[in-house]
Amino acid sequence: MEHHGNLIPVYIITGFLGSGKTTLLQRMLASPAFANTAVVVNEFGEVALDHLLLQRVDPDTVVLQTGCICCTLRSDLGAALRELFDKRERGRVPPFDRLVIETTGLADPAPILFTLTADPVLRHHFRLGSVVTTVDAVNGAQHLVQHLESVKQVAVADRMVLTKTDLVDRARVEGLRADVVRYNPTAPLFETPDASLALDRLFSAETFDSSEGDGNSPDGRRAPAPFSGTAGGRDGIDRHARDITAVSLTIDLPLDWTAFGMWLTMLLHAHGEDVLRVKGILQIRGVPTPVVIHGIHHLVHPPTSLPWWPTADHRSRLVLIVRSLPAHLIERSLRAFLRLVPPEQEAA
Amino acid sequence: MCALCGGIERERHWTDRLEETDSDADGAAAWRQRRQAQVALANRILCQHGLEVRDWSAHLFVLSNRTGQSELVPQLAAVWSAAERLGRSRCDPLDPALLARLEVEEGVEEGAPTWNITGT
Repeated sequence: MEHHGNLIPVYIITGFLGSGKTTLLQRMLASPAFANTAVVVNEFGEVALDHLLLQRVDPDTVVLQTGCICCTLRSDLGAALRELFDKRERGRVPPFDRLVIETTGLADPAPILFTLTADPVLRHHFRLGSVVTTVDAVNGAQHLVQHLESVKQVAVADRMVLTKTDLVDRARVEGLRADVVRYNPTAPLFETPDASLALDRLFSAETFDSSEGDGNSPDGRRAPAPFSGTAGGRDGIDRHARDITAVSLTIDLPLDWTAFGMWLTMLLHAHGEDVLRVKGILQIRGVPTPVVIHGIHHLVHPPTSLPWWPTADHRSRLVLIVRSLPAHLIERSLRAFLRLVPPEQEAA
Repeated sequence: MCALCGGIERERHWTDRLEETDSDADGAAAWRQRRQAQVALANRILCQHGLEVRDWSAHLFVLSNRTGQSELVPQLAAVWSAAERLGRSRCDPLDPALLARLEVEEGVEEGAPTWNITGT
């Protein structure tokens, strides 16, 4: 089990062009709650930092009055993060303990997550916190229909923010909610006309954070119960997006870790390209605390543990967001693998 | 570097045992025992492809086919690519033929509690 220790959590802001990422960033950079945070943005110009500037460290890095560090990305993310960490170690920038990365509007966030996990240096200093995806209420539904990138951004989200909800009527907002939940049934949805929500909650909570378990917070509503079914079906929808399905499985006995690991590694080996996201909170045989697992495509992050279960329901829950893979076959396959190591009689 | 075999110590993979199950009382014997259990489980799947895996010095695994061709793999999680090369067939957990065999696999205790997996 991976222990977080001194690893710096990395939060990713993604969302389609014009979906409100920059507005979110501007609020974050101006907020004292984001002291000790380093934020990697696409361009300084977009977020208009001049009035907040405290110190320019170099052409790509500034320190803001709030204590927040802001840097731009010239080319390679891995190199930029290694440089930033080096500046931190040398005392050239304040010792940030949280990193936020903005993706470009058309970016598939998966390669960023791959960089964090696969880079031999970065993986010893950083860990994935969560992925926050913005979806704007004006154009979001259309983007989901037309652009696979938009669907992927929603699929990988750990938190979703519906923005510009004041610009459309309620029915349209509810329609968009239904659309995004279809692709990602587990990520809590935050709704805001102008991203004026509790930012520190968005960028501090971990995947499966127990504090979000009740779904009754004033600014965040957990998506309705997970379901399994094929999304889309309307004319004009992106062919690939139409085949994306959220498969939610609940397993009522403690899992054998070896059997589960073999099943998931084999599934990702064979179908990793079509597994957009894996998220699970698992009851593992012999492990007293819940184990959280999440991955994107072929990549699985080191499992972590929660100190306690977020709800009274201690059954394992696994969600796979997949493309063109039959839900019934995934369920049958997991059952067949787990069957090889029968549950203990007393475990029930 | 392992002082005994000269093998390079590898990074832990996410499928490696969870630390919560570790204890000071767990020694090398327990570690080997766990690896044997992993190997036994892997072989029940790999036999579908005419392959067998065995532990090698508790550091690596040796994957072999029926003609004696072998490959070293650092961890069981990485066995699938090698298995496709040596077995010359696709390793797919959704393969209905594999599932049909696993579903009637011998050695699964009769009367044991059954998995209840619900897709909601």
